[in-house]
Amino acid sequence: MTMFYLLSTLRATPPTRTPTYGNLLDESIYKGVDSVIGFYDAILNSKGNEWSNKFWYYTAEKGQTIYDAAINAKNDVYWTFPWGYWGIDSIVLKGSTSDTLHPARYGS
Amino acid sequence: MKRSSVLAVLILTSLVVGIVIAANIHEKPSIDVERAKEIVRDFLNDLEANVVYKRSESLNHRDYIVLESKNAEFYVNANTGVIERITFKDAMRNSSIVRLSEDEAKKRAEDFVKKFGGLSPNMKLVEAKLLDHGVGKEYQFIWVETIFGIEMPNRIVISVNPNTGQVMSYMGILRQVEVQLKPKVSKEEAMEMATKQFDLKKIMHSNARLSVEYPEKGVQRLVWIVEVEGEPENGIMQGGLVAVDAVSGEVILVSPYM
Repeated sequence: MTMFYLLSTLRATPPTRTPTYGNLLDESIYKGVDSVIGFYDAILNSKGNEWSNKFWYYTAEKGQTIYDAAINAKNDVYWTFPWGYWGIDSIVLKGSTSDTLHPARYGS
Repeated sequence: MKRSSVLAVLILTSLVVGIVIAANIHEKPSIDVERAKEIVRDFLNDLEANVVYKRSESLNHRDYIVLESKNAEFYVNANTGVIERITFKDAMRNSSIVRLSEDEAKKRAEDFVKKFGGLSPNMKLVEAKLLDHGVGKEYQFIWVETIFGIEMPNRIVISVNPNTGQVMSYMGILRQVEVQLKPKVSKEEAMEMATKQFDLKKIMHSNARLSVEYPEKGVQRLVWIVEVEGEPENGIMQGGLVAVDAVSGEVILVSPYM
């Protein structure tokens, strides 16, 4: 399974659609990526890192589906300093999101 | 009562309050896992419910015991025993269709909050929106207590399934304010300090608000939360957030846009 997630802000209309890259989320699925995650609004470095750490914890360590892990990580972000989502609640998922991710192991 | 007696009473009261505040900050978890399980069973109104311990989490604003029952996850405050967060996993399903209006969803959220004592008088609805996550949607409502224009730690965040009307997640935090609400750093000074943190060609937008935050474990601070947005470069956002201690003027956090 291939997964791509975009932890950056490309504010346009909509933010993930730029003249250069097209709609990155749809484009990625079209190119064969199984699951894509992005953010429509501007996100902060600190909150983005927090979300990322929690997302991988929930999906790779706790075995949650991509969707559940992404939303739970989003909820976690609210109550870390400073209070608020700061764009993380604009998360968008496309493709297969009911799958779980398993960390790659050496030699497998 | 003599003036000296009044003074003595005031000093004594201040000392007691100071001791209580200090105790609150440094108190150790007083709720064990078995007690937390009972609290969840009480909430579910099912004394036989199978409640499973999942993990413990330590956050700046409190320690939690995380438990699971009936496919829902409960965060029990390890000091007070209050359930401060719930995620209803089943309610997250079938959320692509919007059947409820925003007002109907808000009513569901407000009804749910009543289980925890309802909204306090100073709580204001600061956000109500329908979020589209591509494969699912949610109505999100956020209430924050504001006193003298300063955001308190007291807040409620609720998500409602726009199709089924079920509450998907709840977060409710109530804390005593342990800091003086008088900033020594002005809004203008905070914004000037924040702007200096970024190399911006042109400032498009900036704003600042005062908030009682927990930048460190167990420590409240009155903080200026400043957002500075510069002119985008090659379609990339410039600027970000700067947190400035409103008393000492210390820059606590610089978090650029990604």
